[in-house]
Amino acid sequence: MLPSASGTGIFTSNSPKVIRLLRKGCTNRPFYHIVVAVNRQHQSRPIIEQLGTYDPMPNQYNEKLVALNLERISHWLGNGALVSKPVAQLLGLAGYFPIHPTSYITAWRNRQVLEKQSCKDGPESVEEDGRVVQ
Amino acid sequence: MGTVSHVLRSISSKNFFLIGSRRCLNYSAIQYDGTADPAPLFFNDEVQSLLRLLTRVDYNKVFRKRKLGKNQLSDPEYKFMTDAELKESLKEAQKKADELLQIPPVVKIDFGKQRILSKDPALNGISTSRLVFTDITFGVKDANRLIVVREPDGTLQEAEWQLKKRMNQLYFPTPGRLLKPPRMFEDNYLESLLDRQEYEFILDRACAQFDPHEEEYQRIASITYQHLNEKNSFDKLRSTRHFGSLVFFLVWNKNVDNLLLDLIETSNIFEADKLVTLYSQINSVQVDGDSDLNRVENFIKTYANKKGALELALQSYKEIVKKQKEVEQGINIAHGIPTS
Amino acid sequence: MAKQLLDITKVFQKLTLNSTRLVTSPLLRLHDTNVEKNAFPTIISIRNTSFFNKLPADHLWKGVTTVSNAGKKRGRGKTISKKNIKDLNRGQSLGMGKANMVWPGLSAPIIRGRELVQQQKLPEDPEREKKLIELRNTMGTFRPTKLSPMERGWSGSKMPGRSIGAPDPIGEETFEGFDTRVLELKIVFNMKGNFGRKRRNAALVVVGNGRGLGGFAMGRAQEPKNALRKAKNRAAQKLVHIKLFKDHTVCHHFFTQFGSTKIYVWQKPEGYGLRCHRAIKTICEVIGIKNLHAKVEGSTNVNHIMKAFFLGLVQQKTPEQMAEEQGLHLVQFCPESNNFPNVIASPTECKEEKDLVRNETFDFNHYCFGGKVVLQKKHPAPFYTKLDSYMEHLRRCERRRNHDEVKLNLRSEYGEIRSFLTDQHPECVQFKKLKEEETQEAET
Repeated sequence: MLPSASGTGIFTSNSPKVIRLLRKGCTNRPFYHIVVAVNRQHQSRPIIEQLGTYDPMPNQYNEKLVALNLERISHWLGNGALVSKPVAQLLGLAGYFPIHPTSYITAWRNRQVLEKQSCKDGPESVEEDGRVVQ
Repeated sequence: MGTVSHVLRSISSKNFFLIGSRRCLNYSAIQYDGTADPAPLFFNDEVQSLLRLLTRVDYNKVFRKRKLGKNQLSDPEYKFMTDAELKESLKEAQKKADELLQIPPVVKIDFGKQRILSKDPALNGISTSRLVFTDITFGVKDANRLIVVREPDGTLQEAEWQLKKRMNQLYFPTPGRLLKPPRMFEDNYLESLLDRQEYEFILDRACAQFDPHEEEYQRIASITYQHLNEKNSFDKLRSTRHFGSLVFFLVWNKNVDNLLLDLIETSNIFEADKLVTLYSQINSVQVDGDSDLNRVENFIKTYANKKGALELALQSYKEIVKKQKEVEQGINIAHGIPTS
Repeated sequence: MAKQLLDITKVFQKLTLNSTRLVTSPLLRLHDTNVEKNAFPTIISIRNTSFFNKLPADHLWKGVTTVSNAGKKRGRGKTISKKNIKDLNRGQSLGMGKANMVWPGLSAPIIRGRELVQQQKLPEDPEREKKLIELRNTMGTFRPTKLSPMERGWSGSKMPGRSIGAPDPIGEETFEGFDTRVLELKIVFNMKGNFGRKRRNAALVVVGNGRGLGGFAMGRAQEPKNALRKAKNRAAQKLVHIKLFKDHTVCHHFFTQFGSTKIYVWQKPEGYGLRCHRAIKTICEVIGIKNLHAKVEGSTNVNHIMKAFFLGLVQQKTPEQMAEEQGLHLVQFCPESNNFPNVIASPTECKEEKDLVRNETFDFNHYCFGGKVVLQKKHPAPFYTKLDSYMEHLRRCERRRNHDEVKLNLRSEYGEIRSFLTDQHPECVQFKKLKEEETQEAET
């Protein structure tokens, strides 16, 4: 049988753990699981536990969906798990962490691009640049 | 009771508004969206017990055989039981029936509130689309689940109720509910269902798909109730959980004539009296009388819209009772039993 | 003297002069060289009697197509099969040949009307050879008569499982609505003092009216047909009444045994069908049981299965009997009716909690099976689950696991497989292979 996508729960006590994104989905259609796994382990290895999902492609209502199991995230944070930068940004935007500095930088850059475009194209047609979080 | 417009004209209440924008099948949706809140009256113990009484529980109907959506019938289980055990299991079945017949709550339309959690102008332009965060912690009720949205302008706020409902259904699907409302609630399909008098099916499905405070639920339910009231097919909903809400709807909108007529015609004068009591309680009016019949008579005189038909039915009921008494007396005399 | 002369002339008659040397058999060639040397005419002897003209045709045929009993014991004639034996005379008659000749007196009358028929050659028939070959091709392959699917037994046109109609009427009693099904038709032997082995046919049949009457019997006779008739008529005289539950299944689960054949039978709801041994299925169909599950443990001898099953059926109890026996209510719980306690039967006097003996059986299944438990074999995992390629297969399948459902939802929403992005990007639709006609239309 294949290892469960929601995690095997198998780990050694002193191994370094990290909460990170794990790319699922397929070509041209990214989809991420937010997982806790052993740090520096290859992404194809079975994970310890799944903590949520992140869909970076907006749906038909123009929403990007993020699911977070906050109870388990706090548990793993309490157990000393590290957090990767993209996950820290997501948690920051969710209001669970302080806002990550990179988020501010991204927002600032997006605003700059928009400003430049609006100067170039004129005020009537402003094409939005689809910059994503990561 | 000819057309519905006639019905609506006959109803003069401050408690409901006609919504002209969404018209279906000659019926207008009558929703609980006025200033008056039906919830305190509906959840009143006395009203609840009256509604239960009018539902007229028939266990054969409540526990009738239904298809479970499987390919074949499942094996029945047999048990040997003593008298005491049988009584116990019957009591359990009664409890289950009470659960099955729980009346769907009648409440005002509620859109909920969106709390703004933080405003961060420095995050303006973080993304072109909204970011929806759902807390999927195990064992949290749908109503209490934390669902927040980071808007493109950097505001963090609670999700609106449609989004909350969608996210709950997406991550924790409720059985029988679809992410998008099924096509059967669209006007033309609903019309054909109503023509086939599939009232219980419509209301069951609506209960599964919507919450009681939703506008759409109240629209569908009200249209179904009106159609049923016009067709006089109260037996279709008797002994189901929806009969209570139907009675409440009719009483709230002061449109109980058809139901009263049905009760009198089937000689259920006790229930007719209870209906009058319910009417007086919900609409806070006084109906005096020393007996069942008397109270019903008084009610017809003062509050009924279809006085002629109701009085005629009451008259024929009285005659039937009189004849029955005569026959009984005759039998007693024939048997040589002294009559008082 | 005269006789001697006659003999000599006879010898000379047999001798022929081979001056033309047309016949040059390899065996004779050496002799020929001598002839050349000696310049003496070659003499070839011809025997007019041979193996072929001493015996009649049918003897010859028999020699080719059969083997003697003694020869068979020694293993001869294994390659002889009816498939290879072809009667070449079939389809041909004397006087009619490849050359389409008219032989008056042989293949045609001598006088036709007032005219004398002349011997003449007609144009050749090109179809004749083809017809002959066709006839010969069909000869070796014997096909049993094909039955309609409704008439077939358990295995094609073999008798077991087939219906042989209602039993013959006895006096005024016509067995209307009855049907007979064959369960077994076999060859049996018994030893006779003077004959040795005597071979007969034994037929086992079951008779029923489809409404709770059933009977079975065995009949033996020289001919299968007679054996079947005997069995059928005997079974019709041994009918028993069988209790049915709501006219579609058995009254309750039961266990039954005859010899080492053990049968567990489960009562089943409508629409379940008959899932059991084919013999039990046939018996049920004849009796009128429509839903049942049965498991045969031990020997699956048809005779024993039938006896065990009939025993079980006859020993069934009605719900009232069961309730009376146990002194308890018999209550049915149906998941379809939300497990509402439906009292099937009640005793005249119900026992109370304190009256119940400790080690009495109250579990209904336990009571029905008489404490027997079905052997549940554990199926080992298929061999391929241990292969590496199976893991790879699972990994690939995991990716596609919800595709069907997604496709269905998209079809119900949009009427085709497309995404909400298709409005912006029209190329985002499922690739459809066009039919030939459509591609031609598109090209034009």
